[in-house]
Amino acid sequence: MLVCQLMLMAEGAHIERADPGRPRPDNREPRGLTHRRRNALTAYVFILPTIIGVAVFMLYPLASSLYHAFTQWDGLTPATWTGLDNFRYLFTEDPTFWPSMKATGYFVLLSVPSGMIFGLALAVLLNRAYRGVRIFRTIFYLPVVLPSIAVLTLWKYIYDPLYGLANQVLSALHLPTSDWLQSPRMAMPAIVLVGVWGVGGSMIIFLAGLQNVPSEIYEAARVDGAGPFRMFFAITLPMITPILLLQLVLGLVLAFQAFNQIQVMTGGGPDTATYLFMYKIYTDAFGSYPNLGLATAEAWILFVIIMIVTAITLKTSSMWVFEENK
Amino acid sequence: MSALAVEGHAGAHRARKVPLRYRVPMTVSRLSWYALCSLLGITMLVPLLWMISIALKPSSDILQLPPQFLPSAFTWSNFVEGPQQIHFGRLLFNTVIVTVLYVFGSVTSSMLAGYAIARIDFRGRNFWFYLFTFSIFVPGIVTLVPIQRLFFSLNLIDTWWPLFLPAFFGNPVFIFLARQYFASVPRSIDDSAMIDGAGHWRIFTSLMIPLTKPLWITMIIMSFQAAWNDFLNPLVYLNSEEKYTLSIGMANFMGALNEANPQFNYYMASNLLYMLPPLLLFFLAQRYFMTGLGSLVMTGK
Amino acid sequence: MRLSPRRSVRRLLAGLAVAGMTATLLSCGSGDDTSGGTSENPKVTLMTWADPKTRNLYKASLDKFTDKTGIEVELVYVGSAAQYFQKVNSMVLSNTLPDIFWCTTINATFTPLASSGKLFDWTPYLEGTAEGQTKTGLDKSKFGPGYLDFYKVDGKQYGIPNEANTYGAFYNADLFKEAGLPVPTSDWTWEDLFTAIEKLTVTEGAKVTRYGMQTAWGDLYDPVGLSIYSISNGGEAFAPERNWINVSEFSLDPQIEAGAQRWANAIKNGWVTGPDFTATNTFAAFINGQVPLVWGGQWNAAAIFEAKPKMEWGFAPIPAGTATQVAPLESNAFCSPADLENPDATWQVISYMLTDVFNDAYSEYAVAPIAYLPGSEGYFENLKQQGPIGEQVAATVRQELENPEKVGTAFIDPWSPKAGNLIKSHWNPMLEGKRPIKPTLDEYVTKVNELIEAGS
Repeated sequence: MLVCQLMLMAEGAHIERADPGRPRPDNREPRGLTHRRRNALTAYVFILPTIIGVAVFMLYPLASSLYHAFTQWDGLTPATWTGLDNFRYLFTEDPTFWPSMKATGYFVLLSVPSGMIFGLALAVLLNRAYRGVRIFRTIFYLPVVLPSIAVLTLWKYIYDPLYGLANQVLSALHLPTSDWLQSPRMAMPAIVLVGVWGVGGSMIIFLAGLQNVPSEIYEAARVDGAGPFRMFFAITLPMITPILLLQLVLGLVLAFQAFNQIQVMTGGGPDTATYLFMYKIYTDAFGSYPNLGLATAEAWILFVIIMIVTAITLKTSSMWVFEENK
Repeated sequence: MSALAVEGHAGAHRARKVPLRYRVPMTVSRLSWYALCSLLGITMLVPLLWMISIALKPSSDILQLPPQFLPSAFTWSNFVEGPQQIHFGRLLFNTVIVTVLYVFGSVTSSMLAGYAIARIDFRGRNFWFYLFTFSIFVPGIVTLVPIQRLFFSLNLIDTWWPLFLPAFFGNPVFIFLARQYFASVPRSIDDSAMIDGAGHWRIFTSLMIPLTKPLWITMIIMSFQAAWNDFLNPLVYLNSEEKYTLSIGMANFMGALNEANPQFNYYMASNLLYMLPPLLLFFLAQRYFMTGLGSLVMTGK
Repeated sequence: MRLSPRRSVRRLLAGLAVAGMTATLLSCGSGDDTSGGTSENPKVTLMTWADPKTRNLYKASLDKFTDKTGIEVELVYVGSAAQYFQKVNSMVLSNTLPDIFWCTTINATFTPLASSGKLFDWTPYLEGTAEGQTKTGLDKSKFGPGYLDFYKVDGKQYGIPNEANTYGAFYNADLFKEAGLPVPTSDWTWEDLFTAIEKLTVTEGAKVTRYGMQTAWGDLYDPVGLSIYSISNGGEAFAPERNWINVSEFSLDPQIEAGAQRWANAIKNGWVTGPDFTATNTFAAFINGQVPLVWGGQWNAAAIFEAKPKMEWGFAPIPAGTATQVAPLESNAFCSPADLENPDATWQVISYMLTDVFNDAYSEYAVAPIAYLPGSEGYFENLKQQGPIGEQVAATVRQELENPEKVGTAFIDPWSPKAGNLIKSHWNPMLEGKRPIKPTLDEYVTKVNELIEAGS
């Protein structure tokens, strides 16, 4: 109700002005609110829900969890302050912390570029106007819509070294088989492969970007005699760098938080080959004896890592991202 | 804003590479394109086909080795019995309500915020924008437990409120998308509307919303998928069976901690039904989805 | 006909208002109806992770209970057993625990809750000395050895054991005979096991095409498994506290080291699958007659029977050593929140579950035997109906249930998660030959002792 009143005020008071911001011809202050103030008021009304959201669902939880990262807490009884104990354990004593960091780093290095390359490649492939292309697009997008637990369970069966589909197909083609999820070397690539299969989401985003490159540029280039490869690398790629940046950042943020695949398919094994950090946090939080203080400390470490990586990515982005001349 | 940007956006429909109905003769390159796409398509589809195959198998077939692709008997009844076991109808109803509310909440709050940040000139707009998008980088796990406790202390356990209420308070990814999209709409529209005496609210509802159809359709598709597939929140906040959502129902098939074998055929059958709505939504709104995301090309960060 | 944006926005808002009101109504609606019921018809809520089929069987039996006593039982299920602890945890935090819920020492739905006083103390009811208690048919002395103590904390009975698990080796009798080996008996030894797996392994050059034994569960060569091996050969477990509750100190018995050597050797030669083996298709392969031995739990028998394999098979218990034969101490239990409203009605439900419901339900669908032995009769009956093989399986299960020499199957003290990390970094690599045996075992013991000291 208050909102409605504010809206009306913002609307009603806005009778004479044509152009916000320009100096008035007679330099007189109008009745009621000034433009800047009126604008500000409307704007704040518009963003009020989000401000509340940020305060309640981000800032408050961040503060609360930051406190708990320095405590010993089983989630049931009140937390006890232990200072840097959790961090000390993680960095110096926990035998699975650094292997987990390594596995996570490896995963991110494999999955983010491969996701982007394949996504872009498929998008380029499907950026034609042939008949039936929409069906292909839906087919390639399908894996994204399938419920992930069901699909991951299925992939676990496909990867079974003794009776799974993957090895059956490989041996039928007289190719070397693999232990897949049970081989320390192949486990991570196997998981990344599942991600590549699900690259339809990225593909659609890239496709959207490709379609928005104005055709005039291509025509001009064609007139100049550029071939398809030249056009791709000299025109298409630079033009879609903003989308590439977005996908890169979002991809990184998501890759660091990968969890489902590990829970369903490997449980972190073999040894610590696929012990992704997010999975470690979950196990430490809800394992045989809950240790939420430690898990929160780990969550904050993850947060800081994500921030650093994204900050670096964004800082260096101005070097390669094509920006509008404003 | 350079002319290129304006053209790029307003001319989005003209910038298609080739009109769809343009006939191209069946050249070798076209044929090989079809061949390649079909090959890739089949690879993409194999897991789905296998899911269907499992869904159609009678219970005695589940443990056969090596797994046969064709079921020994096409048990279509699995598609009825499986869902029945978990009261699919009731769960479907629940999930639809929660999802619709969630979608509405996140789309409206994000559109409002995106519009304000992009088109209203007020002090602090950049500060708020950075603050809002900062949320993208906060891993969910960091805020999980405090938010849970908050809802518990508000006595909202075993209700649907915790599932859709946060959506009404802005979604950082959507706000980012919205801001980018709104920024590419020409100022001239605002100016002429203001000359006619319209305030921001009027401009927003009467002009911007219809103009930005691809944007909010994209948001609808994305938030629909998020809410439809959400498992963790219903698990934590819902206690009564009659309030459960489909995602929880699905999980129940995978059953016991260390007891007998899960009923894979029912599980797959129910999952296939479960995934139909988001798929259908995507298929119908494909065009808008892609245009909505395409706006990101023409505007820098 | 295009609506003006204003009108379509209004329509949308109207539709959402309807949705919102429905949501609110439904959300608030059943808020009052949960526990307690009326004094005439008390209502007890029971939460389990059982799958739909089992739950229906419980319900059918509980309906008879309601007819007899007028107490209504509402079965609540959790979406998935994998997240069961999260569910219990959020219910504890929000004070909405049901009257009875399945708890187990394995995944922290018991020990942390019991130690922090969140659970109801059933001791008086179990003894039969509670005020105004309605007598039930439950006889405290009929619980299998070790189970009741397993769920006691500080002498208080916080959990009432229900389903118990037993472990052993499923064997393919035909493959044994083919290899000229005697079929495992109820008192077969570790020697028999190692001889068998060596002989049953088939290799093609360097590659193993058939493992002697596949592991579909743990407790074989992990710290618990080696403790079992040690005790059965006259040695000691890692700690004197065999149920791993309030462990004082870890120490290394030479028998444990001997066991580790044997298993590391077996893994290296491909006689048994390694610690990271995932048994995705193991039982399917077993049913198809391709696997000679599978290390697993009795619950797999139900699936094997259902698939009607064509071979002779059986289920042998954990092998005996030179000194004795050990059985696993593992069971689930019924727990209740400390602020239970109607203990008397709740106790009646628990008793009825143990005396009647499990018998009714599992005589149709053999899931697990019960720690309360009279409640296992239904389970055994179902097995017997499967013929001589069923009888053999039943005999093995019964033997392990009644065996007083028991060892807990998991570490449950607060230091156990960090000790679990050592499995990944030290133990498994040792078994796989990547770390030397004695030094690694020593290091493991030292580190665990540090954790026990720290009390974390």
